[in-house]
Amino acid sequence: MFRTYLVAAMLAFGAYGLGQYKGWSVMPSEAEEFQRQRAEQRAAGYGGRSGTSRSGRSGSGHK
Amino acid sequence: MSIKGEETRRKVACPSCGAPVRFRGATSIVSVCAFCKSTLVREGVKLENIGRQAELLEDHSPIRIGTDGRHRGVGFNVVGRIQFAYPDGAWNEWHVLFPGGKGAWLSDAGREYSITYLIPPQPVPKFEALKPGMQVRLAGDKAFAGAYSVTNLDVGEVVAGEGELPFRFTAGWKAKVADLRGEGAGFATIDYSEEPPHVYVGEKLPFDTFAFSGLRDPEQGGFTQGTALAFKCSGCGAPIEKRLTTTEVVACGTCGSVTDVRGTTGEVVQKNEINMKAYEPGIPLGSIGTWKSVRYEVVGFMRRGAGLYQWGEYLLHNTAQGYAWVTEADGHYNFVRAAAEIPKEAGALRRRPTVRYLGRMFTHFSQAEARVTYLTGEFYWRVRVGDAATCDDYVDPPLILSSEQSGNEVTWSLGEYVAGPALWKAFGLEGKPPKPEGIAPNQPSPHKGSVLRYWLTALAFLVLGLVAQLAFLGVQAASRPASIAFAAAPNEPWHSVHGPFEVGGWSATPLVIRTGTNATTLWVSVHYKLTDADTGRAFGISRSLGFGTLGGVRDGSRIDVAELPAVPPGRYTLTVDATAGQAVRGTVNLYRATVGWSNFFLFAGFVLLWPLIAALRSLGFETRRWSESDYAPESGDDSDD
Repeated sequence: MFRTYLVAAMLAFGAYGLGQYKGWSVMPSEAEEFQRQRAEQRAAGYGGRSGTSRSGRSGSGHK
Repeated sequence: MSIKGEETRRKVACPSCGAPVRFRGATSIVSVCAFCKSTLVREGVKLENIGRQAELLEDHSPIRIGTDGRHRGVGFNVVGRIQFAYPDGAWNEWHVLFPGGKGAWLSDAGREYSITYLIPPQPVPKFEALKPGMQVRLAGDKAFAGAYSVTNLDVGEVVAGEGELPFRFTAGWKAKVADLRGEGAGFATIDYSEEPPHVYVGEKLPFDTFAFSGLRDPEQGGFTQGTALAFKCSGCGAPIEKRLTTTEVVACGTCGSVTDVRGTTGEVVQKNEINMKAYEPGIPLGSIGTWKSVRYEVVGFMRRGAGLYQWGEYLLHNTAQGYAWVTEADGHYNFVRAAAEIPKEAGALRRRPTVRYLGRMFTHFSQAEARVTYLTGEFYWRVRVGDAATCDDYVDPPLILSSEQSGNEVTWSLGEYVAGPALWKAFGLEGKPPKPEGIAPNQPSPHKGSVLRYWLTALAFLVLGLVAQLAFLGVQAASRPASIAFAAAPNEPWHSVHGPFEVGGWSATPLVIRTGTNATTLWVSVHYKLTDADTGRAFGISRSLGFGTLGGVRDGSRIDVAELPAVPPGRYTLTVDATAGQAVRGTVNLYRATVGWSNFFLFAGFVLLWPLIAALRSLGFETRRWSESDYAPESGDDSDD
């Protein structure tokens, strides 16, 4: 069992090194993160405008 | 040995038979003629014959007169013996002489050996006031002064003597004797037959530590003598045998009745009917095996129980090493010997009582009132079915330390967990041992040690990963060019070429292009072309930033972050083409995209998962072990209606 662990840990270390070398990541890159934030800002900008224009959100006009 | 030349030697002729009789010790007052057993008492130059000694009981003690030994590096020679009998057996007190004539007593009680020296009289509690386990403080030299615990109280009766002895004695002379254990191997005996009582202090030590030579019949190799005395079972009349001279009783294998075989005719100790063939020992009586270089013979078996919990105990015998036990419970085995010293209480503040023994800490596991339920074979004490003892077990796997208190005696024994197959192999038994069920109190955890090993390995990998991570971050951050500025005016496209400059890294990984502007109202379009100065390979990307209004909503950003995938390290030039609806200034930064810590954390999580699982499995094992103890957590489903 312990040998299995040693082998598995070494393989994991190799995979980690390969990921770093190749630039693989499960987390979004800086550019992807920037795009995500921009999209959120854009959605918030449009959402805020349309939200206030829909009087239904305030509870009136949909009776 | 040398002391023979140093000691006082006085050879006289036996007044009865004329054989030579020696008084080698200056303190030797009595000498028993080896030929006619006349007891000669020396008073000055006079020699008095006070009569013939009775026959000694043949007990096959490995020691004999003339045996040499060592204690604490000093040699001694055995010159005499007094044999005592007590209700449960007999023991020998061998009189030994050291160089210079200093005497001591080497006790052989059931092949447990202690050597003691007489110390000056001192106040001690009365014999009747002593109880097993009671603490007695002995004063005197710091080598032996301290607290002692009473372990045994008996009245011994002199059977006979031989050789040289330092005092007069007669057969039948009775002595009240208390045995005490002190710190470590410390041992003391108080002999109440004198007034004031004689106090002897010394050590109880394993046979081998005395480095004996000149032992009796050393070729025997520790076996039963091969001769047996035949008796009839006092219960059913079936033939039974006494093969060991130290055997007190024999339990019939047919009916279980217990017969006293000390004399020439078997006398009933207990008639049994209920345990006829109640249990078949897994290791047959008479089996011979070698365990830790000592050859033992299985001579007896008993079954004991405390409530529903039952276990078996095999009595083993070796002529020199004495008795040992193999215990069996639910397929788990222990090899057990008498403890070398009395454990000391320790850790009073701990949740579970603990004792210290030979530098190890043992934790209390359980206490039980154990009763003998089945007997077969030979025993060196008058055991009966129904005999009860209070048993306390302390564990430090693979060891188990057990105390048994019954009557006036407290005994401590040390057991070591033994795998059944190893035992079967040692005793050459056929078939397979019973499969172990559950977890024994002192069963070594298969996870102990490995958990620490897992953690240490994980730590090593984490350190390795951390070093690698820092190296990766360092390399990724290396060789990034300085900020590049550009400016665009309305209707005047900007075109500039920058470089060449170094783009660092070790492989074709993404390159970040971060653009910052002072745009406030209109959009700015920028096209970047990164060209390898050596190969001409180009990477292009177009970006828009700034602000615009769509549907009445103003949207945009002064900055932009983009990525060029798989840019190999090398020398590059950057071409910037920008158009804008307003005057704008900007800067562009190029650098390697860093993977960051996510891969490291994934790796660390994987590496730590294994020791975590190992720790949980170890915890589970220990929880199951202690669920059988007196300290098991209360069960939630045992509601009593």
